[in-house]
Amino acid sequence: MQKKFLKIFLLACLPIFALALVYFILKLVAVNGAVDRFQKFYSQLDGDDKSNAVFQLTNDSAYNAEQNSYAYYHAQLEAANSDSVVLCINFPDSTATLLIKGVTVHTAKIDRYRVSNFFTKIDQRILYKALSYPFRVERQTSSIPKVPLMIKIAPKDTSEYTPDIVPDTTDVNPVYFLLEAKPGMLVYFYETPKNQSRISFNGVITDIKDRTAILLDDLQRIVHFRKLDYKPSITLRLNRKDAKIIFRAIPNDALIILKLS
Amino acid sequence: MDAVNIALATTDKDKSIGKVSKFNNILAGLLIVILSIILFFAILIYAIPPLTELVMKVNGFAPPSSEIFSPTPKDYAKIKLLTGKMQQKYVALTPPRPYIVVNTTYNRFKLYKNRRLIREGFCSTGSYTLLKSHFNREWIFQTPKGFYRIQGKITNPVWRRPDWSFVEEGLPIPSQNDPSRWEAGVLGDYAMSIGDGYLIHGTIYKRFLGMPVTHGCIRMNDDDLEAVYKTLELGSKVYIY
Repeated sequence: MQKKFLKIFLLACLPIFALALVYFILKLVAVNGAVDRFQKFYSQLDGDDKSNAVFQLTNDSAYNAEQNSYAYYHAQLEAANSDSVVLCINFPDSTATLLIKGVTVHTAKIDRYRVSNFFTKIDQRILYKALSYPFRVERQTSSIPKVPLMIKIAPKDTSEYTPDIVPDTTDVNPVYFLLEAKPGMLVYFYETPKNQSRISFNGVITDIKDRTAILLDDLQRIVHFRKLDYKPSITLRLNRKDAKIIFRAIPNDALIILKLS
Repeated sequence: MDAVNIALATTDKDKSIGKVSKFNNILAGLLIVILSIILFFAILIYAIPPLTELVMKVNGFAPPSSEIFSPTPKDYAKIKLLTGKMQQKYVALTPPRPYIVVNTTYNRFKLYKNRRLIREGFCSTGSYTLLKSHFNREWIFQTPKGFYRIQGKITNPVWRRPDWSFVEEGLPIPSQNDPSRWEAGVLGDYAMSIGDGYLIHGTIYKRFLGMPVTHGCIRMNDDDLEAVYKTLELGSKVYIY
């Protein structure tokens, strides 16, 4: 009897694996589409002549390091034209910095990060060009409110007036947020659990929710016979305080600067 | 008769066994379906993305050999010069003159001079309260974020009470020139304006320093305020995040 059910279970797994394989192939096709879109977007971008002249395709690591630095400083100078808070993520240094007009106002240490291999598929020249300009955030979602607004109804007269009470500054909500930047890049921020070796329940649930959201979008596209969409993702783990500071500081259409290597 | 009873009993037993067996089959079938669905979603969510990443890593960008650039010493020198100029421009953005940085999330400030931190401490910033009146006026009390400059400095400031300060106490709003508009002794010994009515000033509510309690202004204790006032000049930069 048990053998019979095992056999049935194995038979049921066959179509599952077949469907998973089909999804995998569609996803790879989506990746290639995303690579083409990314390259096309930045090829059409008009940079100044100096930046166009600098970026070359080379295997020389020292020259690439210089190109990288050039792109990084160029992006920071571009971002300094804005008066608002800019987020600068430097992976070699493992730091996430907030800048205003080019001045560092806050530096946070990145505990762990994961960068999609999507960027290894991009033509280096186009990638450096992309990194030499800040990315603009189009959408943000988070586990905490952007503006922790409290509504207070004014008293009708002095008899109803109560002096302000001491605000509740306890900090219990887990901090997870997602920034979606143009042209289609996802930057996930997760707070590091207090005990780094312990897996955070909230983190696992948030991770499942994020992954499920992508899957459901893909399934919807499949059902409507549309091409799947792929957005490269970057995942960062930061201390909760720093994550909260960064999320509350950056505006809705924030600029992000990346230094990948 | 006994044989008939035994036969009947056996048939009933078989029927009940049959029913249990059928129920077991349905349960097992349901379990298989649920496990299959869970396995399916688990594969799609947790197996496909890393496999996709692996394929991307293996099939990275392969540049055509004709387009590969081999830099000469002259090329190195050129790019180093360009990067150096960029770096100098970037470093020059940090002012050598005194400036202050305010963290509104955790209500802290840092004062810099000659690009070095010379003082830091607690302050109070906007409470993120939305005050709604009964006559279609509302005010939001938050400290604005971004880049500002010190536009004015004053000693022994007197607070000119805006309309919301009367509304939130349930008082009628007086005329613009009414004496009740002016209140001395609540802003500390110094005040610095950063524009749009926002000030850096002192406070009589020192126990609330470090908490988001203000109506948008930045409050400091007396010692910090004096140090900031004496360090910053007109036009000094204020960075609020």
